[in-house]
Amino acid sequence: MQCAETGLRLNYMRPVYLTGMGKTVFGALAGRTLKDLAVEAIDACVADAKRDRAGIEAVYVGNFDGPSFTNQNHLAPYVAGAAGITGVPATRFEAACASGGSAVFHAFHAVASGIYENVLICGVEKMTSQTTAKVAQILAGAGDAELESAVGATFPAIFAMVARRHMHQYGTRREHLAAVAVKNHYNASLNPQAHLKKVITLEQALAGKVVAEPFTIFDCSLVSDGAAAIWISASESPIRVAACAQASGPVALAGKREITTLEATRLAAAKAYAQAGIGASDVDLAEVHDCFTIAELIAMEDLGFVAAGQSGPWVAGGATGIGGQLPVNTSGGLKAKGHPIGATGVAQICDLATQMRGQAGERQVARHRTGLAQNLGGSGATSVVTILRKD
Amino acid sequence: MRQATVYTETIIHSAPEQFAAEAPYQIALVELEDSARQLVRISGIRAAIGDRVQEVDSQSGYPIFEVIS
Repeated sequence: MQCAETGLRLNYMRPVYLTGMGKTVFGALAGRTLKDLAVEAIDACVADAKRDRAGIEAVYVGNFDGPSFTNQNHLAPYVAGAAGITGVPATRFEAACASGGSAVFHAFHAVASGIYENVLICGVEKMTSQTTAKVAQILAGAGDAELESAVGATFPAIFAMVARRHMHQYGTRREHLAAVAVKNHYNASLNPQAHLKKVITLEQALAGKVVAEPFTIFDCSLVSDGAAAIWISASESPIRVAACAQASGPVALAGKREITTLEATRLAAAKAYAQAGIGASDVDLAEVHDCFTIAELIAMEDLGFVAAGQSGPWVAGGATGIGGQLPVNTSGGLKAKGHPIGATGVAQICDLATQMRGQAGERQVARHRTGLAQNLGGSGATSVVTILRKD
Repeated sequence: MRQATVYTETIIHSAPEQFAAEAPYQIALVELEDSARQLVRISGIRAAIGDRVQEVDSQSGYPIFEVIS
């Protein structure tokens, strides 16, 4: 079968299911190491799956820059071995902030195409042992070293320039950006595993310390430690991984014709919707990559939830709150749940599944048949869209 | 010297380690005469979207532009 719209061949795909999941808390976890965070997430995932880890045929690790953050390389066999999984292939995937999503994408296709029956994906990052200035420098490595970092650009600055342009083109306001932060802080206050459990007001969000104009610290995601793991399998369970698609775009902002939309997200979303046989209006809840407030607004447009330029008023009006028309980032998002980079794309799957199992406690949403996760790398050089569905 | 139009801009207050002493400083994505875009530093008065800017001599290893007054 070939999808006429995308040219995607679907004939090789067999159903893939979410068998288990586990996460650590996210936070500035002094005394915790990359290795023991990963092992905790993997152990929790294996326990949740109620399977023997001897059945895992391959390990996919998502990690952005363990070598710079922790002086440790060769991370996949390093964490798999520590978790008692040896002998099988163990490989690390790096795609900046989409490292976790990229690991999920490659693992999904290995199971869907019949190479493996059972694989484990672990995303992990240990960031807080470095100073803020050093972290900014490491993160800038996800941009173009020659065209961006050498000029003094930081990651907040890149997205601040995207925000400025979106405001200029569409009339998006500072208050619209701040509304994303207020919502995600509130959601995280209901999430026991979140990094920050501090409710903020719109006034506080607007008055925060300026990072890169117009962004204050409340427009920026957190620097966190943490790990997440999922087990996916060809054997049936209630939640199916109905689609997983990855796309790429220019690394440097200067290489894009339009900067208020991310082509990689639009391409990945189109493929994922086609794979799952659904449209944007079928999505009940989403976890999207709010590395900066503007990124959540643009994701609403690129994923087809709202027309280009309309996201600001839509989100500020409450449409994406827990009780809204389409709850987004009920976990608290990268903004307040935390953003241990390599863990993020895997954690999004765990957060969706928690809602879809009806286990989200105070932040539980009413409708949860179909969940969508979007994980972004850099300023749009990689985007991964995953759809979970209960049949 | 090259002239360009500011496509978008920001002022960086929280800078990476090697530029921390220079903060705050402005960077801009500018559109050059051939429509190509480039990320540059802005010196002097603050530039806004749509402003015309021109390149000034630089020994800094990155391009620097100023608003044409």
